[in-house]
Amino acid sequence: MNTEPSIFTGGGRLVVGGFLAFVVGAIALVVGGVAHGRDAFYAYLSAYAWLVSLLVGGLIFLMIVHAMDAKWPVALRRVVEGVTGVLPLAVIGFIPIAVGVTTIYPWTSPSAIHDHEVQHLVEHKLPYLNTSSFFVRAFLYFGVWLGISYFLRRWSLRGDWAPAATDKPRFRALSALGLPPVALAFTFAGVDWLMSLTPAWYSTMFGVYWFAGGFLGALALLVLATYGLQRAGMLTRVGSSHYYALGRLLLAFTIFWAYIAYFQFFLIWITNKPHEASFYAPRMREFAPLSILVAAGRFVIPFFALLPYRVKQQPSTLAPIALWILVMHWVDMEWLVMPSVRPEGPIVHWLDVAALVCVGGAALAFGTFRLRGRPIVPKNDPSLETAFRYGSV
Amino acid sequence: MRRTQQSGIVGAFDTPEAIIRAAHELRKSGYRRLEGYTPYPLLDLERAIGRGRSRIGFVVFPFAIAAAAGAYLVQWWTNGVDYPLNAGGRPAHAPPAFVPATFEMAVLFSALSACVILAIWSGLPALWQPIFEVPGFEQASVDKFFLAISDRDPAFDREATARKLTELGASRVEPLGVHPATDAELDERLERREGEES
Repeated sequence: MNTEPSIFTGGGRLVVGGFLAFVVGAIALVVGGVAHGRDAFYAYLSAYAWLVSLLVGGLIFLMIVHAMDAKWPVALRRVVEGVTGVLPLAVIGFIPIAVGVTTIYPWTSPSAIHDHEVQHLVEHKLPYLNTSSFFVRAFLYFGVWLGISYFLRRWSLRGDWAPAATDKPRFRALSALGLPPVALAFTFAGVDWLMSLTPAWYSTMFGVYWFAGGFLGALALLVLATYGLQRAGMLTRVGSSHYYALGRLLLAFTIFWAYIAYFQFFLIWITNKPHEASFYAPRMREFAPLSILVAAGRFVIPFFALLPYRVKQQPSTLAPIALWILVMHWVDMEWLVMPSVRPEGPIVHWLDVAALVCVGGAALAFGTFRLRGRPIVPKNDPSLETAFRYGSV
Repeated sequence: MRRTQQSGIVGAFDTPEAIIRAAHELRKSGYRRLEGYTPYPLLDLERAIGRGRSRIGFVVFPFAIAAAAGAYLVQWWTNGVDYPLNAGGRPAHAPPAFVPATFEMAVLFSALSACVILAIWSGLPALWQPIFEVPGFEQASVDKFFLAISDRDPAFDREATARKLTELGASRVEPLGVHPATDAELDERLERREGEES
C-alpha cells in the first residue's frame, strides 16, 4: 500500500548548511556586536521573535489539529512535530536576551528615561515590568510550550513502534486543555519581549498581532517543509488537496493578520492620543518605507497572489508564496522592534540579516537533526490512510 | 456556463459507484455533454462528467473591485472635495477612515453578484425542465442516480447510446425531451395529474 521510504534519513546537507549559517551568523553578530553592541542585541531580538513565533505557531496548529481530531493534517503531522521539536533550542536562544536585557529594554532603568511623564508611567508599571518577574514569566512560557510539545511528540513517536488505542483521547485532552495556556503564554510573551520595548505604550491587540503573524508564518513554514520533503522523494502521497487546504489557511490568516494590523492602527489613528500614537509616529516618519513594505508584503501581495484556485493547489506556485510570507514575517518583526529601539534609523542594519542567518540556520540544523531516523509520517495512526486519501474540490 | 439538458437520453442507476463508472466509461468513449442528477453531491461524478470548478469567482472579482473603487470614490468626493469637514484636525481626505466602508462594499457586492450570477447560470427562474418529464425522476432526490446525455453530444446516437447505458448498468433508460411540451400539453398533463391525485 505504502511503498515510499518512510524513515527520514536525508537532510545531512541541511544540517551542515544550517550549522554553517549559524556559525557565520554568530561570528558576524559577535564581531558586529563589539562595534555596535546595541544593534547586535536588537537584531538578535527581532530574529528571535521571528523564530519563537513560528515555533509556537506550529505548536498551536498541532494542538488545534489534535483537539479537533482533524484527519488530513495527520499526513503532515510529523512535519509539524519537526517544527515544534525546535522549541528546546528557543530556550537556549533566550540566553542572549537575558544577557542583554538591560541594553534592550528601557524599563530596566526608569531613571535613565528623560521624559518625566514616560518615566512616571514606567515606574507605575514596575510591579509587572522588572527583570526578575520578566525572567520568571519567560520561564513559565517555556515551561508551558516545552511541556506540551514534549508530550505530544513523545506520544506520537511512541505510536510508531507501540501503537496504543488509548493515545487518541490523550492527545485530544492535552491539546484541548493546553490550548488556552499556550495561547496566553504566546500573548504575554509578545507583551513582554516586544511591546515592552516602548514601555509607556500599550495596545490590547498587540498580542494577537504577533500571534496572527506567527501562526501564518508557521503555516507557510509547513508548506515549505512539505514541499521540500516531496522534492526529496518523501511524502509522495500528499497531493494537491493537502496543499489546497494549507493554501486556504494561508489566505484566511493573511486576511486575519491584515484585520488585526489594520484595526490596531485604525483605532489608535482615529483616537489620536499622544501616548498611543507614539508607537506609530516613528513608523510613519523615518520607517515609513518599512511600514509600506509590511502592508504590501504581508497583505496586498499575498492576498491577491493566493486568490486563484490553481495557485493554492499547486505546490510549485504555493511554495514561493509561502517563502515570501516567511520572509515578510521577519520584516514584520523588524517593523515591531527597530522603530521602537532606534527611531532615528537606520531601517535595516546588516546585523539584522546576520542575526536572521544565525537564528534561522541554527533552527534549520537542529530541527532537521531531530527528525532524522524517524518515520516521516505517524505510520500507525489509524487516520493516516484517510489523511492520504483526503480530497477536496 | 452550463444549462440543464434539453433533449437526449437519460439512464437511471441504483448506486453511486455505477453512475460514476458509467460516466467514466462514457467520457472515455468520446461523450462530452453529460449531466448527473443525484440525491447528494458526488465529487467523483462531477470529475467524471468533466465538470471543472465553477468560474463564478472570476466574474465576482471585478464586481468586488468595482464596488471597492466606487465606495472609496464616493467617500473621497463627499468628505474630501465636495463638503470637507474638520474632524479633530485630521485631513479631509483621510484614507484610514475610508477603509472599513470600502471593504464592506466590496464584500456586499461580491455576495450580491455571486447570488445573482449563480441564479442566472443555474437557469433560474425556469420552473420547468424537460428532465422533470422523465418517469420516476423524483427519485433523483431519494435513492436513484440519473445520468443524462444530450443529443447535441458529438458521440450521440439514440440507439447505440441507449444500448451503452444499459450495458453500463443503467436499470432504466428513458428518452429525454423527445416531445417538446407546449403550453397546451402542459395544461393537459396538469389536469391529468390532478385527476389522478383526486
